[in-house]
Amino acid sequence: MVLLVTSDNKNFVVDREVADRSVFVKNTLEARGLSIATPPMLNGGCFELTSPFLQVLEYCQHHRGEPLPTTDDANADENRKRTTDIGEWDRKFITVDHEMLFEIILAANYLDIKPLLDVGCKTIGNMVKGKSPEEVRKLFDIVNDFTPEEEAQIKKENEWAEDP
Amino acid sequence: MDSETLEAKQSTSVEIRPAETSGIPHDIVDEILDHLNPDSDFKLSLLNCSLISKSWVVPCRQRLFHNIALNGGDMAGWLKSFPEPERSPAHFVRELTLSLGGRHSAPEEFFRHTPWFKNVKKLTVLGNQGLQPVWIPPFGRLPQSVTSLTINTDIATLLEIRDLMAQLPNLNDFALSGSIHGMDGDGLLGIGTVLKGEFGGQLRLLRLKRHADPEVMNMLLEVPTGLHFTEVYILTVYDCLPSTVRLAEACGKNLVKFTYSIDEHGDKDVFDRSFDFTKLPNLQEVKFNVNWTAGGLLWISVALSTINPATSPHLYTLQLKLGGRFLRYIPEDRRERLTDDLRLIDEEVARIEHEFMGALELTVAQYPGFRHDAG
Repeated sequence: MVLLVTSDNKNFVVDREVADRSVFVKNTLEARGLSIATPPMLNGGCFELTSPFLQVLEYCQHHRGEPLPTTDDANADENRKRTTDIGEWDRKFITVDHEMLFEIILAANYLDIKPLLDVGCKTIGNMVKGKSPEEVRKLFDIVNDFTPEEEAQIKKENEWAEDP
Repeated sequence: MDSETLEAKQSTSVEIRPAETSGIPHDIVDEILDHLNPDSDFKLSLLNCSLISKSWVVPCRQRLFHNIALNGGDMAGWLKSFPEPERSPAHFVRELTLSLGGRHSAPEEFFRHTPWFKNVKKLTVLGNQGLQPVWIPPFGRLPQSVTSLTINTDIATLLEIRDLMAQLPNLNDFALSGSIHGMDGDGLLGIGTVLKGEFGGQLRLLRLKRHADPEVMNMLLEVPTGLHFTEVYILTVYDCLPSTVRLAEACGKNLVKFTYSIDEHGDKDVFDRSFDFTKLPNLQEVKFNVNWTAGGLLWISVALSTINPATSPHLYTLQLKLGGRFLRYIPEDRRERLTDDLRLIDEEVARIEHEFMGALELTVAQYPGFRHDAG
């Protein structure tokens, strides 16, 4: 068993097999020879993990024992990213509000749980596809920080990347 | 944040604030874009995403500008759009194709901008667009990042090509095609003088070409120094056999794959010595495609005679494709010699097949009716 402590001091005791779904936790435990992992500091501030962490734990428990993706095969990594299919359980699991969706992605990114990061990013990728910038901003509550001149400039420069 | 991303943020034409201020970290945006389905809407999605907010601009551009192709007219437009090269999206480009021929000639000014394409890995230079080809030698400084160079032009001189290659210390894949005309410098020693140092990877010299002066061709292939090519593909004329032999042997132990194709005979009987495979002990694949036989095939049987399991332990593929579309026009005396050459090749093939005992994939293909014509 492994004790995981979140940044808001909540304790979670989980099976090692579940904890090892996170490459970050796995490496930390292996490097320090410990059975306790303290979670992350992100961008200089505490990363409030408890809420998404419960979700992440649920994901790790469901997928315990499954083979982890290898990191040394670039082609496999590419193929994994190119696949847009999301399994039935994962699809239901990731059907959460957008704020939680981003928190899960951030947690998966930090804890280095690639399959979960894939599921989150695929979900957002599918949402973004075919939408205008304004629609995407509205969907994810993103502030348009371009000035009109900057936006016009980006559009003009993008013409060089468009198909003839 | 890696240095390249930081550099991209600093040098794009729109001032990019730190990504974190917009909520979604740069690496997460990167991940999301990696998961966009690369179907027909992929580019449109990227174009739209680049307009979401500033934190989306750089990751989108890294994909949008990954490979671009510019003709002369485009280059003029590029100069107008980006008068300050350091603020252009050039640094996002990884694969750059420049077409120098065509209706609009390439403006020389553009070639002062080429150093700003500083992350380009693959550079392709095309000189033929069906109209008068144009070659602009003063490329300025080419990006040192280039590892793959393809030149297809009917107008460049050897010296110009040599100058291009000399600017690319990291080159490991070089493809040259088209007719290489003339020689504009005394004492030009050929590719070997350029490819000194640690030059490896592939060398493709394709269709160097029917109307090229064989002496120029031989100089192009002349290799005074050791090379590190692992794969060499050459399609040329029979007259270049001696220089091709020297080039292959200069690669020595590095050479793993070697394809030599002849699609035109020469006027001279250039056979002095052939490939000595004992000098190429790590070869795994050898292919000879001989589509014209007037110069004789003796060199093939001599080359084959140097192959045996002890000196070519890694060889697993040997392909011979022999033929000649215009055999009927070959003079009688040469036809007789050809028949003798073919018999010698048959003997060597049988010996090799026997000695390798099934460990070698050996293919001998011929054009239909070849032997009948030869006989």
